[in-house]
Amino acid sequence: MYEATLKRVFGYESFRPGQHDIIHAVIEGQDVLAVMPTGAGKSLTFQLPSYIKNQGLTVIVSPLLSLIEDQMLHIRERGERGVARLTSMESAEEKQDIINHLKRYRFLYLSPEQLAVPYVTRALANVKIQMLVIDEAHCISQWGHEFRPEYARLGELRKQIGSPQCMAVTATAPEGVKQDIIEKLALFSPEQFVHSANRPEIRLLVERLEKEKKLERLKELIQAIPKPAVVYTATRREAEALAFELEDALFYHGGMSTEDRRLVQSQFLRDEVSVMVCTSAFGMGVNKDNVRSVVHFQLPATVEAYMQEIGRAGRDGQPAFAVLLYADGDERIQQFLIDGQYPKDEDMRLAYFERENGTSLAQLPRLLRMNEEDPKFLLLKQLLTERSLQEALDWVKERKRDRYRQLGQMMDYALIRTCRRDYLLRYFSEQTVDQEECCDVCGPIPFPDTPQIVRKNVTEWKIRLTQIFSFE
Amino acid sequence: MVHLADGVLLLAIKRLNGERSERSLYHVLNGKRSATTLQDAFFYELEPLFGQFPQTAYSYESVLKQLEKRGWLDRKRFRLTEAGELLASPESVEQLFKRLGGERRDYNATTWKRLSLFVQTFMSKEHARTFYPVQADRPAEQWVKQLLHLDRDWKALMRTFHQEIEQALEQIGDPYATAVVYRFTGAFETGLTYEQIASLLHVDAETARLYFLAGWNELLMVLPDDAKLRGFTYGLSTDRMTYSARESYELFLKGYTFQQVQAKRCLRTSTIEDHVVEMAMYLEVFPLEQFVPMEDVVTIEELRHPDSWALKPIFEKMGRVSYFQIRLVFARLKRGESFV
Ligand SMILES: [Zn+2]
Repeated sequence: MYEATLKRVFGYESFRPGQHDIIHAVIEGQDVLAVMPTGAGKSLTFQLPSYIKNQGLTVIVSPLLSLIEDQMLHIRERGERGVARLTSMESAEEKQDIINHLKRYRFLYLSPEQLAVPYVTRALANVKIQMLVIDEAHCISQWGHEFRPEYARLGELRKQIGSPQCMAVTATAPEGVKQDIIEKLALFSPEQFVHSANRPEIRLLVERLEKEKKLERLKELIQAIPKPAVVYTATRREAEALAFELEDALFYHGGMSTEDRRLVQSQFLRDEVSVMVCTSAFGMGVNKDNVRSVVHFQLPATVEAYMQEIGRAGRDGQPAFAVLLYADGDERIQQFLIDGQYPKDEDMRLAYFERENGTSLAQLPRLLRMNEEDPKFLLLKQLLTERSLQEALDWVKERKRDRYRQLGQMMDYALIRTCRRDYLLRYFSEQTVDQEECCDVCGPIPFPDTPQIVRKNVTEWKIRLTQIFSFE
Repeated sequence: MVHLADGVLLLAIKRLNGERSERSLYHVLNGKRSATTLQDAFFYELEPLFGQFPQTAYSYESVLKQLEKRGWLDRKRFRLTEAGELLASPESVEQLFKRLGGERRDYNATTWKRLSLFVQTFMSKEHARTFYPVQADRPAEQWVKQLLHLDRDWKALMRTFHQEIEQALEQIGDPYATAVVYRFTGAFETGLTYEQIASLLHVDAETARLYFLAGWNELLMVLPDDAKLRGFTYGLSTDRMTYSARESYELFLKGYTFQQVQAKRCLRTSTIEDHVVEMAMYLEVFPLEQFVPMEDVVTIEELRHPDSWALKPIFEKMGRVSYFQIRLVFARLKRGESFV
């Protein structure tokens, strides 16, 4: 039905599974909740209706700068000029210019913080908005693995900009999270689309081994598995150390300069380097279809996070491999990281005490020795305005217990002796599927023979310079 | 392993001569444009490092701890130990240090962003390759976009750029040339990270980063004035003076007195004093006598210990001159003038 537009604007011949139904619901004017795995083509589902309806601005809220950048790049690449973004990267002047000319644009990307800026909200209230899209909608739920306090206000902001049609998209959402999204965004009897979480092309493997043997095994594994490959680890330092140990590998994390990060992404995209080691907290924001393997050197914090991370493999539909290396006690790193995300009880008591005695919010970070940008502090600030001390303490305790429970579910994945795919699907309330080459419990999973990539030797700088400037 | 980059930091501490605090160096490394930091950088010859080591207080602390642990630094006095002095002394450390270009940091960095993005954009278009921009810098993006709109024979110009870069780098030589060239991204070659360049040059990543900064700074220094590449510096200034000091300077040039400048700008006395010190540090010609009687100038010069830029001993010995006046005299002495 919408194939002509699909071809004209996006250059595709046909829809991918599930896309058409979502687009139809959007065009019919329904609120939509779409759960689609990464790489299933979700951005097309909110972009295409804009060309069919042509009824104003599509506003997309996204939590990560890298995701926004990546999507804008793709939109511009196909020749669409009517796209802008409001993030922390734009100067006040640029922002003003965009706000003054909202009519010029078809798509506006912004971070939740920017949407909450009063003059932005006001400007958006005064233009025709075709649809509000909430990307990574699971961030709104405190039950989700990536709760973001700044997402909590989105329901109210939606109302302030005139309650436009709303589409919530996310890659992963168990039942509790879905309910939370619907309530918090006040979606009006939304059409729900749940794309199966199963990725049949990805073979699932877990190797249990001793801590001391992990590095050695990782090195062998990287030799054996098909590449390009992504290795996930828990900390920046470990990412750097592993990249140093592995052949033809680069690390990637939030502590690098923007330029270096971009160089690494570009090299990986172009297959100039075959292994990328990154932290879970900072997966790359670029689409790469031919990732053949994802190896976890550390346990992720949740099953959802794991699904999202292995979801980077095999987007081209070709066979791919997800290997988790697990040693007893690995979960301690995650426990430590979870604890670090919430304010300590004594800090909370101190903060409430100081507030009651008239200390201003602005003075708190120094008293608590916290960075004012620290998510922990932002959370504390929110708790201070919304809850009593006892409620806040209980809330944090509850949240932590919940996170531990989720970590336990991830550990179970590593420890079970039954089909791993079955476990994952049941986690997402889905039916079991039977397939060949499923997981290491169901049967042996051989790695295909892969040609070892031989890297060109270093060239003398003059030759390299000539290559860069060559028109041949 | 001792790396050249460690030597550069040690040399910075050595130059501070135990007369300034850990905090002072921290601000110089981060490029804080305050009067005190600009003066520290000027008097203790740390300008090449200015802003070239941006870091958090936390990581600075761990660097200092490390230097102390390795027995190179005495943190109580903020001076090097003998072992530290030894590492700060090689000619290669000094060479790298003086080329880092911190005094022209913004000029260098902006020019690099523009040129590298331009080369990547143009070559990718030429080869019809989609690309992932290496620079995430809006002003640079816009600058390049505008440039490409100009009707020029870009292909011919690219050949000229290539030659100019090659000739400049020939003069500078390796390892600097390699560090600069491998940062460029073309249609088919993505630039290397500092870690990768480090493994090419068999150094650590931090030293590789410094080689790049130094190589790029040198390239812009040796480039002839009429080079076509100079177009990428359009609208940029190598002026060391802060914007605010320059405004005061222009009022002085019009003949206003100190009090008149202060009244006109509604700034504190100390702020205008800082501006005058900047003038004394950076201007070729400066009317010192307008601010300090000649006999005091001479006394200050005579009293100064040849290895020291500490103000306090002079202030205490003389009694009748202000810190402001001593700074002014020191600035001119530091520039090589003599009044005795
Ligand atoms: Zn199975």
